[in-house]
Order: sequence, then C-alpha cells, then structure tokens
Amino acid sequence: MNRNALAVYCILVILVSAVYLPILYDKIFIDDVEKTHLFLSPVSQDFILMEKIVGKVPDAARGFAFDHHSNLAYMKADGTYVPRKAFERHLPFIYYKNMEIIGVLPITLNGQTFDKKTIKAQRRVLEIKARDLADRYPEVPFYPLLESNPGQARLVFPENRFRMTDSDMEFINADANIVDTGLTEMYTHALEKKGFVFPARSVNGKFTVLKPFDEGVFLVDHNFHVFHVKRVDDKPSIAKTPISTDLKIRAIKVSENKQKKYYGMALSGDGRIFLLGYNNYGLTPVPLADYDPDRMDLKLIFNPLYCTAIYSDDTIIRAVAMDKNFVPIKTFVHTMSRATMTGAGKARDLLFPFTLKLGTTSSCGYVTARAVPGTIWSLAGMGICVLLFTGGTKTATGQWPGRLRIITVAFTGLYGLIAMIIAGVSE
Amino acid sequence: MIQAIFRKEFFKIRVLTLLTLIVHICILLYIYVSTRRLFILDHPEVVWYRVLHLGQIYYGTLKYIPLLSGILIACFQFLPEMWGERFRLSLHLPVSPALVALSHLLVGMTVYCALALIDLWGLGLIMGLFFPWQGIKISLLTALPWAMAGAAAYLGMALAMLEPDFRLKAVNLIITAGVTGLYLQNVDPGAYGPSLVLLIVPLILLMPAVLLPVFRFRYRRVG
Repeated sequence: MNRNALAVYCILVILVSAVYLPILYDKIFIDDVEKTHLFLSPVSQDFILMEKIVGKVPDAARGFAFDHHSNLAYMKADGTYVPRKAFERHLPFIYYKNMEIIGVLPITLNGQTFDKKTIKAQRRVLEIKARDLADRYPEVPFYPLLESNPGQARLVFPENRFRMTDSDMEFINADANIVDTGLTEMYTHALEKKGFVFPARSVNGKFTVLKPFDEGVFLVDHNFHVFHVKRVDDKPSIAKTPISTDLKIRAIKVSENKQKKYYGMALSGDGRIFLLGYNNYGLTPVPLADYDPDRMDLKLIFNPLYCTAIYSDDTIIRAVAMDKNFVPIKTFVHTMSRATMTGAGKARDLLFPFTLKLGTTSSCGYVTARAVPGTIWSLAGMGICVLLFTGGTKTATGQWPGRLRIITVAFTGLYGLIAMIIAGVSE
Repeated sequence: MIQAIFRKEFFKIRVLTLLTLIVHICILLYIYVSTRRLFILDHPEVVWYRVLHLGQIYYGTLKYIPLLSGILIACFQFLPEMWGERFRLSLHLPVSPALVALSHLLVGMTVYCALALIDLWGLGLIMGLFFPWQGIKISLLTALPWAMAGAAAYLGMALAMLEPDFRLKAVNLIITAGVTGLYLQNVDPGAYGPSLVLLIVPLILLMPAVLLPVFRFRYRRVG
C-alpha cells in the first residue's frame, strides 16, 4: 500500500468534508437571517427596528404577531415590542403611502406639517456597501460617459465606453470595437490641461440610464486630486474639485437626485464618510463612530426632518441620527438577533473544529478561500472524536491506532475521523 | 513500455476525442452565433452594458461542457480497463504501477487540456471580435474555473472507477462531486479570479490520490 497516496487521499477527504459538511449542517439546522432593519422614528424621536428573532421568541413579541410570522418582531429602542401597524405609524416618512391610505397624512411633527408631496420630495437614501468598493468585487473597469445634456427626457448610452490607461482616457467605439482616437485625445488633453496626473486611482459614477439626469463621473488621479468629468454637448466639461488630496479619496458613491444638494458620498482613505455637495464640491463630514468601510454596509436615510446613518457588520448594527446640520442627536447600538448563539450553533461548533469556506462574502464579491476556526466547544468535539477513534479502532481491530492517525483526528476532529474510517476500509 | 501505454490509451479514446472535439467546436460556433445575434438585436453599447457591467453570462452553455468531457474521457479510458479487470494486465507490466497509472492519466489529461484550451481560446476569440480586451479577460476568468471543474471531474472519475471496492467507489464519487462543485459556484463573472491559483491545489491532490485505488487494485487479495 502506498502510504503517500493514502495520506493525500485522506487530506482530500478532510478538505472536502471541511467544506461541505458545515454547509450541509447549516442548510438543515441553521436559519439564514437577514440583517435588522433599523430606523429613527420622527414620531417618538427614538429608534425602532424590525428583525427576525433567532431562537426562542418572547411572548411579548408573539402577542403582537397578528398579521405576520411570530418570529418577526417590531421593537422600540427600549426593548418593547409593537404591532406591525404601530411600527409603520412610527415611520410616516417611510410608509407614507400606507399613511395616506389610512388617512394620517398630512402629518404634523415638530410643529411642521408634511403632505405626501413634501415627504416624497425630501426623502433620499444613499448607500455604500463594503462589497461595492473597488477591488472588492469583479468590476470590469470600462465605463460609459453619458451625455449630460441629452436634449430629451430619457438618458441613452453613448456609442462608446472609456477605460483609464496609464496615460489616456481611452474611448472605444462599440460599433467597430476600436479605439476612438479623436475622443481619446480630446478627453485626455482636456484632463491634462486641468492638471490630471495619470494613471487614475478610481472612476466613480452611477453607470446606468435609469436615473433622472446625469452628473458624469468623478475621477481620482494619481495624486488624489478629484476631477469631475462630464460630457456636455459631446464635449468634455472638466472641473478640478477643491477636495483635499490629504483625504486620499478612496471612493465616491454618486447618486443623482432631483434635490441637487449632494452628488453622493465620498469615502476617504482613513475610512471617513463625507457628503459631496453641489456647492463648490464642499465636503460635509458624517460623524460615524466605529465605522469600518471594509466590513460594514452604510445607509444614509434622509427625511424632511433628520438624516440617519445606519451601518452594520454581520452582527452589530449601529445608528446615528443627525439634524439638518449633521450634528448627532441620538445614537444606538444593537446586537442583531442573527448573532444569537442557538443550540444548533453550539452543536455546530462541537461537531466542526473549523470550516473551510470557498465563496463570496457579505463584504467581498470575489470567491475567496478562508479557514474559519471553531470555538472552545470545538476542542471538546475534537476530544470526543479522538476517544471514538481510539476506542473504536481498539474494539474493531484489537489494536490501538497509530500515533500519526490519532494526531490527525485530534487536529481535524470529525473530518479526520471520517478520513480515518475511510482509510480503515481502504486498508 | 510507457510509449506503448500512450499509444494504447490514445487508440482507446481517439474516436471519443474526435466526437468531443466536434461537440466543443459546435458549442463554440453556437456561442459565436448567439453573440452575433445579441449584437444584431440590440445596440452594441447596450450589449456591452449588459455583458460587461451587469455581468450577464450569455456563454453559460460552456459551463458544463468541460465537465461532461472530463467524465466521458475518464469513462472511455477506464471503464474498459475495469471490465473483466483488464487493468490488472497493465499493472503487471515490468514498470511500477504508479508509472502505469500516471501514464494513463497523462494521456487523458492531455486530451482534456487540449479540449479545454480550445474552449478557452475559442471563447477568447469570439469575445475579441465583439468586445474590448476587458471582455476577453473577464470571460476567460469566468470560464477557467469551468475548465478546472472538467479536470477535477476527469481525475475524480478515474479515482472512482479504478477503485475495486463498491463502498469506496461511492465515497470517491462523493469526493469527486465535492471537488468539482468548488469550481462551479454561481457567482459574478470573474469572481474566481483571486482564488484560481489556490484552486489548483485540489487538482494536484487528486492526481496522487488516484494512485491509491491503483495500488489497492494491484495488491489486493483476490478470492
């Protein structure tokens, strides 16, 4: 018997087990729960949330589950549960269509009266997700530069797309699939004239025609200067913004909106978030504590009274409510129910000493391979596997198993045990 | 001796190779026709948007073809060997069983790799006719894991078919399905990019693992 072949075979069995057994277990026993929905209620001026409860559902929550599953809970920041309809009434700026149907609109809050039209005009959501950042998902760096003055109601894609090379803003004609030298020279020259230094660090824009109008793209050059590039009447319209290079702008999430107050959100190199204003590209800092753009998804919800920043990783959700001047007025931190350790979760840790994961994650759109270690419970599981293996082998064969095999099972737990059983059959 | 094995294996799968090659070329032609049709039905800039920006994989027909080819090559190569246990004859040649088995695998892998390269080259060529090089790059990064899935399927099927014990045959089929599944996840185009080098490891492990059933077959007690 070739020992090396057997060793490689066992490694293969361990690898495949470590990838698929946890997946299988999760599919059977673990509930896939989405993130908590958290909002600031302009009615109670406090936070209110909706989440799926993992584990035992409290009687108080179950008592309000008139028109939905009992494990879906609507909860105020102080921990009291409310029925779904009361939850919606706390958020008239979000559920304004329902409020109109039940006759609550126009609504008076903080001495101001808001009708449907006002609410609709002043609502806005800006979002920046960890997996949407450049280099965190497989983006094709090849963009359309829409005509910002299309002379018609609807935006259309131009016949060409551009890519940023080391020395050019290069346009490719889609009809012929060749470089459009005229446009390339025109835009490259216009950029260089404004002081753009190639190669570009990032290209930021909203690359769709499904938006009310087009604001072009924001290019960050090699020296971290930010340039606003638009195509107006088929000519380049380029502005070098006064945004400080010290900020080392990493990404700008552009989102055209009829309010025309902010182009979108800018993420600096040190992980701070700014709103990029229309007024001479002024930056308004959004005060977020403990925000990590590489792990967290951020949402800014604007309503006629407040702006609320909600950001979360896989387990903790945080919120900052701000007034019109982006001064924090209330904060909230909540461990989401999805982070609750259930009996099935503990059994999972007991069974699996580690998990090999291959796939995308909530914060990365690339397929990555990673080993996720177990918890202290896993050590107990590994010990049980060793006992089962040694005892089982002694009972079945009358001999103790070899030291190397015991070590393999000790370090790889259930996976190793499976591999050793198969190896036993194989011999 | 090894040369004779190469010749024997080549003769064994030459008809299948030819048929598989024709199927692969037909699939590539179909992808070409589909691509052309996309550009006839819509403006090129809209097709570019859908394919390069929204990540539409219109050449998805190619996803399971390498897998099928890998399985077929392994079946044509090793099923006749296992019928009547003819493989024992090869294993009793005056060469090490490992060398005999690896020679068999080398022939199958060479044929499979040639087919996979034709797929990738053809896809790249088609993309190059209609898309800029970013399109070629993303399509190849998308199709490369599919090609690796075919290689895993070939080696895994060899592992399963050469195994004389039916219980272990079943285990080996599960291992094959598991390894192959690593390359066939439904993800965005090009998402496998950073993991491709690491994903060679299971293929490398499968190669020597195939020797285990070979040794078992060669040195088992009969009767």
